[in-house]
Amino acid sequence: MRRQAVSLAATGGLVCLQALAGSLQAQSWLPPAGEGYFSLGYGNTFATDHYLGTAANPGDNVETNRGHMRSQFVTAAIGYGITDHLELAVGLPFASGRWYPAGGIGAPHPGSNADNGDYHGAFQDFRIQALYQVVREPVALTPFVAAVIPSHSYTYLAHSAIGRDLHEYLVGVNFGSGLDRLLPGGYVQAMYSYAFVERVLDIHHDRSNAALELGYFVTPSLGARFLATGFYTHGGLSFRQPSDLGPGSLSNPIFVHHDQIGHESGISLGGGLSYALTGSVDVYATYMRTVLGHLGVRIEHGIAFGFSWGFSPKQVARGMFGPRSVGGEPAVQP
Amino acid sequence: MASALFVITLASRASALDIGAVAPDFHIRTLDGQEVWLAEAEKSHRAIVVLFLSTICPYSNYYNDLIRDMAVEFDKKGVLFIGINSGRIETAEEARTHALEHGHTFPIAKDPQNLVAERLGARRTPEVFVLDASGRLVYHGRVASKISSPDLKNALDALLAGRPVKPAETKAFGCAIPRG
Repeated sequence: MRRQAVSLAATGGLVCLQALAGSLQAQSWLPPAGEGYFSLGYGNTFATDHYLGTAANPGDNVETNRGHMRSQFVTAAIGYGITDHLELAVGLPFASGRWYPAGGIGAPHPGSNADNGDYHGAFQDFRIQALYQVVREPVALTPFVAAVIPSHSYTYLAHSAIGRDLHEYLVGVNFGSGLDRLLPGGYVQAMYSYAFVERVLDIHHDRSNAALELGYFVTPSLGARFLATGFYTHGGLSFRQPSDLGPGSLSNPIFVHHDQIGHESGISLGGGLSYALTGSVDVYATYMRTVLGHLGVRIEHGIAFGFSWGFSPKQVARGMFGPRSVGGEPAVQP
Repeated sequence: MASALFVITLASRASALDIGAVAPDFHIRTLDGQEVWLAEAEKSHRAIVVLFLSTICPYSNYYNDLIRDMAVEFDKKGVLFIGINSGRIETAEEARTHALEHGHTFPIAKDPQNLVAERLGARRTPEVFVLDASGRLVYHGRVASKISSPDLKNALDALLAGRPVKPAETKAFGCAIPRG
């Protein structure tokens, strides 16, 4: 069930990591009707390499040091079960990024004021999502639609950019199942989505996103999980070395937008733990790193942790304003 | 329907009940006025399921149909379900109406002062305590996991088959039982 560990929002911290990759986590199980949740998570990613070659060694999968990037995210999300089968959720990260030369290697993006070694932070993209669980057993099948909407126009031409500043509209599906026959306490869930991404320079660069989660409840309160995420850009701009982009100046639109429209792909692996502190509060921590990529950056280390709190707005309101006399019952004698 | 207004009489207060411990006896008057003594019920049933329920908690309501079906199924096997609606934010009338709407024909009682909840150590809705015929707690926790395991059903099946109940304790998740 809800935070019953697969924690709808308990995995929300992944949004932080995956914000860089544009993917989502799997979410096959929804909160029941009338249940709301609030989650707050912190993420920290450290990227050491670009997947981008050099003149001497060109290739979109060549790992080269072009300076290091550290990004931090604080993501707040709320969700609500409209029915037992329908959930609406919205989240907004505050992101902060920093780039600096590593060992004297690497140069800031020409024309960018952000790559000066300092953190630059701003609210990133609203993520609004509606999920509908079609089938619950034996396999949970939960399609969804989502929109990624930049909260404002922010800098995207920088190693330390907090995002791509692009609108995305996603359609996807989640699958999930318990594994009690194979492994009591185990479960698996997976997600695939197709993102219609705002075109730039009239270049088509939609994305496929996927996620896999294998989980096991070590105890009724403690869950452990293996995580894998990946994404693939359909179309986009292919290049194998910086000089393929032409002049690195603001007068070159290809250069200006290359971080938005690259033919990027990547796979990240990791794991995490979640713990049910109470029947309504879960905490979680995850670790992920990129293991394969083309263009983009390689996340050397990515951590996230946070909590989610489930509540019934109706019960909360009743507790504040509801009846104090339940009516008619005789006095209780202990 | 045996639901109803409730009143209970407890011998004394205690902290949360441990697995294997004998549940303290209590006496309830159900929403429809029936008198139920736990000790007497234990003598005439193979097991007792004490369920803490709510009319407005989403998690409790999520299991309404499952609880209805299990109560009917296991009643035929000598298991008595007793519903407890603790706290003061839901009225007896609401509990009665809720039981009617969802076909909960097992005894249900209001526990406005949380005396039963305090005695058994219940903190959530839904939360389940399964007692064997001697009144010992053999299972405590959730009704089921949404992902997979039907924990209450598994516990009752094991108990009735004479097998050890595993797991004997799971994490009850849901709404806090309002105190005060």
